[in-house]
This record gives sequence, structure tokens and C-alpha cells, in this order.
Amino acid sequence: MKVSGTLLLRAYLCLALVCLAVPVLSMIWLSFDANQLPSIPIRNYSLHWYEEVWQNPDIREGLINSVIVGLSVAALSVLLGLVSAYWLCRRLSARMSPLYVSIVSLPCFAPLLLAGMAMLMYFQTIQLAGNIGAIIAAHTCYCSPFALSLIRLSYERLNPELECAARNLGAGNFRTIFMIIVPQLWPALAAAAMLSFLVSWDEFVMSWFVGGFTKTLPMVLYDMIGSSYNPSVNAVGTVVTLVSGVVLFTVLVLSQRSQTAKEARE
Amino acid sequence: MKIHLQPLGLLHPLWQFGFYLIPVAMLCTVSFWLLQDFQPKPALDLQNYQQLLTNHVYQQGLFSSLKLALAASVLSVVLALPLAFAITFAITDRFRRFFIFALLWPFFSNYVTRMFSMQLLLGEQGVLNQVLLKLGVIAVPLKLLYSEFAILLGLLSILVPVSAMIICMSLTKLDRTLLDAASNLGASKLQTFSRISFPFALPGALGAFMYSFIVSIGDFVCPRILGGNQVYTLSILIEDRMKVNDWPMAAVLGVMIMVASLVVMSAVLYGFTLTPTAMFAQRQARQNES
Repeated sequence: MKVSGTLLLRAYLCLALVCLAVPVLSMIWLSFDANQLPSIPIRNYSLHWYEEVWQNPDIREGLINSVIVGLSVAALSVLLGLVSAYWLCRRLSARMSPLYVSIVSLPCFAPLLLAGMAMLMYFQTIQLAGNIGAIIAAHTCYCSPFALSLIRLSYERLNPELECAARNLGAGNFRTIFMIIVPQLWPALAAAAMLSFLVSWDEFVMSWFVGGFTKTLPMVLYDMIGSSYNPSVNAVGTVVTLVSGVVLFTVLVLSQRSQTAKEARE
Repeated sequence: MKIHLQPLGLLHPLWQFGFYLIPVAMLCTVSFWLLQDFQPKPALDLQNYQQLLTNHVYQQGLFSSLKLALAASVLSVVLALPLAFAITFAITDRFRRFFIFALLWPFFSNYVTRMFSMQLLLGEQGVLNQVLLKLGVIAVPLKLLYSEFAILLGLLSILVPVSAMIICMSLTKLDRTLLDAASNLGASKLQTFSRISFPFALPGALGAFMYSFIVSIGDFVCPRILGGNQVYTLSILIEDRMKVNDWPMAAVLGVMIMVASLVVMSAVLYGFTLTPTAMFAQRQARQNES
């Protein structure tokens, strides 16, 4: 009975993975179809749509915007996450820290739609809507709690005496951060940066509200989807998906690495 | 140059305050504003809320939003539970990383893209119909797209992977020796499951339910792309109102979404304290005190 139960679970797992992957895989497959309409099996394979996408200025602009937003959000989230992880682990009492964490992670516990429309109203009132800064600010609200939780997990395991020793030996705060804390935390910091980039790269709802005519890649895609079938979307979607896959893989490897580093230290 | 770290601790809360809490507070005030000459004007009026109570379009939107979100959340937890058990117990450590990647990759393959690929799969000329026609399973293409079923399917495709990961996280707290102890003491498979593994999965299941509800009630991409203007949810109505600059009505609908999420969230938080693991921890804390 034991074996059959395990087998059943494994079969279910594989079935679920196939069901989840089929839409995306069929999109990747169809992106190589030369036809204007999807037809199965594919008769002529070609890179025609990729060429079309490469020459589309809207998509190129969206790509550039997405990369700028993603990198800035990653940098800001890691900065905010590191500072508040330090605060949580070294300064704040155990009683206060849950409150601090819940205030800081509030945006993750409400629908993004709410955040998006509220921010649009606010940013338009203070004349900030419709530029790339608004998208970066909005994404950082949502990504920094994730960065914090990743960095905090690693920070909790650091030996506080090392920081004290550095201070005693005359290192200032700046030197302590960059010579003692950052080298020990780098896998977590890198994982947090990548995860923030990934979430921002994926995020559509808030950017749609706040961005206006500054379009990130998901917004360009949303415009292209319209009523008629547009095969270029397949090609853009494939590229976006592959980038996400690479970043996700790195996040998983890095968080694994910070885990093993921890175990080695213990 | 000496940097003082003390005030830096306030940086993150201040950021969330300035870019999140103030906007949300503003949203609540805007819900009392009025629309004059197609422009939102500051006021203190309950007219918008009155409209919500009298206009059946909004009521229907509220109803179908709640229905969809609840159905999606329940289904996602039910589908994710065995997945989490499979990843935690039925897989060796070496393969676990691969399966987690395979599970999360479609989730991160961009939200808009994912909805589009569902459209591609389910459409009348879609991949699924073409394959089934070629295989001779069906004679006429199935009408799968532009229905509540399609929206549900689209929502589940994003909810299930993350729900499974949330449940997995609460299952890692389970000490494997407990399972051995149970079988040594003569517990049957079913007893071990119902008395040990399932209680440990319960907090994760509650968390997954909360996550699923919050995501699905505030989503307008999936109903828009897969519902094809057949199903009107609150989120779609909000998007429409925002497009015509009707902030007050959009804000009222937004407040409704906020209230619904808060209700579900407090129910789940209350549910956490009733789970067997939480009860056990409480009892231990009380014993330590005395």
C-alpha cells in the first residue's frame, strides 16, 4: 500500500506539471510557426516572428523600460531589505519586530489592483504619474518585503560578535557593512535582488495603472493581445518566459547556496 | 564620513507609508468624492455608496467576483494539497529542486503571457481543439473560451503553484521522526495522515487560501482576456471606471474589494489560532509559564 500511495502522488505531481506547462510550451512551439493562423501540426518552421518583433520599436522600448525598472527595483529593494533586516535583527526588541514586519509587508497582503488604483490617484495628485519613477516606486513597495524576508533569514544566522569585533577594532558603520556584513550575506543579497527583478519583470497590474504612456514589456504585450490573433505575441512571450526561467533558476541556486553556507557554518 | 544607522531603520516603513499607505488612505477618501463635469471633485457624500446599493450592475459584479474568488481559492487549495505532499514526501531530495523549478517556472512566465497562452490553448481554433479534432475525439470544436470556466482555469494556473509552495513551507516544520514514531506505536496510514501530517499542512492550507483569494479578487487581466466581456467582475468594472476618470465610483468598488480581503484575512488569521499545531504551541507556552 505504501508504494502505491507514493506512486499515486508522483503521478499526480507529473500530471499537474504537464497541465501547468502545456499552455506555455504550446506558445513557445507556435512562435516558430510561419503561418498567420495557428495550425497543427506546424508545416513551416521559421524565425519570421522573432525578426518582426526585433524590428518593432514599441517592443524595444518596452524591453528597455522593463530592464530599467527591474534593475532599479532590485537595487532599491535590496537596500531597503538590508537596512530593515539589520534593524530587525540587531536593534528591535522581539516584541516590536512582528509589528515592524507587518507594517513593512502590508502591500503583499492586499490585491495589487487596489495598490495600483490608489497609487494612480495619489501620483496624479502629486504630478508624478505616467513616468518610469512612478512604476519603480510602485514595484519597490511590492518587492521589498520579499527581499527583506530572504535577507532576514540569512542575517539571523550571522554571528553578532563579528560586527562587535569590527567596531572594537575601529571600523566605522560603513566599513562594517561592506567588509563584514555584505561578504557574509552575498548569496542572500543576490537572491533577493534577482527575486525582486523577477517579480518586477512579471508585474503588470500596478504598472498598467501607474505607468500611463510609459510602457513596460507586459503592458506592450497586453496592448498587442487585442481581439485578433497576433503571432508576434508568441515570440515576445517566449523571450519573456525564457528570461524569467533563467532568473528563477539563479534565484533557486543562490538561495540553495545561502542555505548550504549556513549549514557549513553551524 | 560617519553614517548613522539609527534613522535608517525607518527608511523602509517610511517608503511603504509614503508610497502605499497614503495612497490607500486617499483611495478611501476619494470614495466619498463626486464626479462633476467628468472630473472627480472633493466632497463628502454617500451618493456613490448609494449607487452601489441600487445599481444592479455593481451588485452583479460584486456577486460574480466573490463567487469566482471563493471557487478559485477552494479549488486551488484542494489541488495544491496533494501537490505539496508529493513534493515533500514522494520525491527524493535530489529531484526536489528540479520539481520546484518546474512548478514555479510557468508561474513566473509572465502573467499576461500566461493568460494569452491559455487563450491560445482554449480558443475555438486553439491548440486543444485542433488536437482533439485531429484525434477524432470530438466532431465540433468545443466552446471553452470566454466563460467562467475559462477564467477559473486561468486563475488556477497561477494560484496552484504558489499555493503548493506555501503548503510545502508549513510541511517542512514537520519532524520526520514523528511519522516513524506514529507507525512504531501502531498507527495506521490513515491515522498518521489525519493526526500528524494533515494538521501540519493545515496552517499552510489556510495561508494558501488567503493568498488565492487576494490574488483572484483583485485580478482584471484574467477575466478580461479569458472572459471576453461575458463576465463582469468588480475588477473589470474598476478598470472601466478608471478609464473614464470616474475615480469616486472606482474607489467605492476598490473599498469593497478591500473589505472582502480584510474579512477573509481576519477569518484566516482567526483560523490559524484554531489549528492543532497552534493549540499545541499555546499549551506548551502556558506550561512553561507555570
